[in-house]
Amino acid sequence: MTTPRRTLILSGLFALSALSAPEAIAGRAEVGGYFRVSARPDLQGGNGRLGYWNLYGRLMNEGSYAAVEMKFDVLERQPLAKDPWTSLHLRIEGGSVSNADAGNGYLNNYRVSQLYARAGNVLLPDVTWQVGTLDMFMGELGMYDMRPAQIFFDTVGLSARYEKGPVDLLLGVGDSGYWNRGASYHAMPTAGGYLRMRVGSHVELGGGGQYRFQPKTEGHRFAPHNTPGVSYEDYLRQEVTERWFEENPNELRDFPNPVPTSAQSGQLIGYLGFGGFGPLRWNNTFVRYEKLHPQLSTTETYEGTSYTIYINDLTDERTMLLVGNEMQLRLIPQRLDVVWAALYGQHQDGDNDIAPSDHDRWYASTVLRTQIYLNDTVHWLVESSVAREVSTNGNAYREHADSIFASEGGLPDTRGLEYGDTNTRDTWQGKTGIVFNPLGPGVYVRPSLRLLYGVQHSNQNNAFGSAFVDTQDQFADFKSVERHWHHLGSLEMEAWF
Amino acid sequence: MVLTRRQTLGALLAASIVGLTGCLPKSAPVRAANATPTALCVVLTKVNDGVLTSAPESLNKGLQDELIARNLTPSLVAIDAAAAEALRARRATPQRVEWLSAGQADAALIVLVEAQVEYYTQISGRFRWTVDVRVTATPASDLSQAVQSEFSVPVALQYQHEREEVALEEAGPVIERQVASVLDQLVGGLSAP
Repeated sequence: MTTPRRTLILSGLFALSALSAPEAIAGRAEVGGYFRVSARPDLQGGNGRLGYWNLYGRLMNEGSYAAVEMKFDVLERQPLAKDPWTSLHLRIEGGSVSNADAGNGYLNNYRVSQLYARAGNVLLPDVTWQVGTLDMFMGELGMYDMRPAQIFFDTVGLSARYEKGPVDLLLGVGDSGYWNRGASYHAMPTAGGYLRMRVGSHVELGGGGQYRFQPKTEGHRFAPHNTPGVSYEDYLRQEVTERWFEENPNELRDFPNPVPTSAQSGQLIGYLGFGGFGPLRWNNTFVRYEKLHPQLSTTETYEGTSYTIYINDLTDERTMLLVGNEMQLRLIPQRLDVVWAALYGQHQDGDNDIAPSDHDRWYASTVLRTQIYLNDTVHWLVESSVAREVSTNGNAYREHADSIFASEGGLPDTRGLEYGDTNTRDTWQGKTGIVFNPLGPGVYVRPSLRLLYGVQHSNQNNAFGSAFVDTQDQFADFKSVERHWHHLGSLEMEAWF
Repeated sequence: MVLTRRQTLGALLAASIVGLTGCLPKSAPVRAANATPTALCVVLTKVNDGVLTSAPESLNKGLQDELIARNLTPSLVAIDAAAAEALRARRATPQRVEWLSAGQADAALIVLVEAQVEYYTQISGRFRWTVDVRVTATPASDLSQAVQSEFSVPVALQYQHEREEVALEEAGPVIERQVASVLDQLVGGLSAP
């Protein structure tokens, strides 16, 4: 016999059934993304960034950015079943927003950075297949916005990711030719992967790598080649053809033909994570050792004729070591959080012993951010960073407005390869301000609305993006000025969604 | 220590911002006339693993606070192995509500929060998850008065090892706010003359 309560329940169930639509199993579309925009009128004449780059902390050293990733479930993943599923992903991203930077938000600043299909419960259990772009990272140094443990950023192809319990294994193959060569495309087969393991509940370990190979292809002008007999200094000065014709005055039509070769590059990555005890929320340590891919060619014009100089062997000894650490501490829960990060980088170019470049330098930096929660939504942020950058091939920085006269022992050297009057750049930055987080406390809780003041001191003159003149020409309309302190206010927003 | 005029103005401005935001009026919760026993069931479905389990403690506590603020006396339904199995067998919300109604004889109200958490992608250094939530609040004896809300909360986690539980915790403030709204609708409607 049905009780009155039971009867009401049954009749109500009809109404509730109408209210609760069944789960969709296909055709669901979703959007995720990331936005960052700021207003930073620079009263000292800069372009709205406190310093040159993220080495001093990402805060106030990055410009506007927007990324939107669309996902369409061709076959939605069934929560409690092991049926096959498939989703399509398309990401568009770029660094410009109307009224906030020089690009003014025009779409030529944006690109389709990711396009892939993912599928699961096909062929192998607990394996996710991905076809298309394959970009993958094991985490980020949030203070620097850097991802040292990243692979396949430049690759389109196929990957398989096995995730079960403490094991996360990724293997992939594809082609990296278009990202590295663009319109000068030549195939660059790529293979790699990583293994990430959780050891207990407080430790994680990971390691992996990626290898690229560009085969020797005779007759292909975009395949790796070397122009014989080119010295590094002539290449650097763009004087290869001039020198050759000086030495071979009667062989105008016989400029050496390029010799085909093969090229290879790759990187190894490592990761150690631990935390979840005491005030330590988590600590990430990342290592990356990369052998950069050689460049293809450069062009010189001599007496009205253009010559292509192939430079594979002049650019095939460039390496980079990057070690980073980031520690997130919850010192007083709901009151005070701290993030400490440090970064060391070493770039070496075995081919270049004569001129400073971004491939011959080391740098070290540390950043400390403190966030005090005045109440749930209003926080006080204080951040400071110190950094040293050293050029290992001579002077690379200008300490003074007139440093052009200080190179090479105090004498101007118009044939000199150095730049400026010092090989070291030391930078200190401090930032403070009010943060409004609608979703509550947390250094990385977003969205964040921030009103910040930042200050930088650098031994380099005018060490921030600007349109200042460098010239010492006595007839120049504008004179360069001495400026080592930089002050900047910022009203900005950042959000993932 | 003597503050300069500029420092004093800065301190006053900061204090004003904090004070203003801390004192902004919030709408009062709609309270039941009498303390009302309410069964609260919060279910987490891990879409990637196909696992059905209980929600993190912090979310359960936050939701219980929302009930208490409305003069509802919460009784949290434990998601033990038997309950998980029962809920796994009943995948449709009406079936689950009926099961709760039958099992929680003392409860005058049923509040069912079903959360499905699914990995989305890596984006701009974060690990993006989607938390899909369906909130159903109903008098246990009359499901025709049920109030329901469905919504999705995007969550961008900082670390790769953080998974469904952390994503659900991060979505907590939004879920609590939405549950509060559903409860206000239900309690308000039931109290209406």
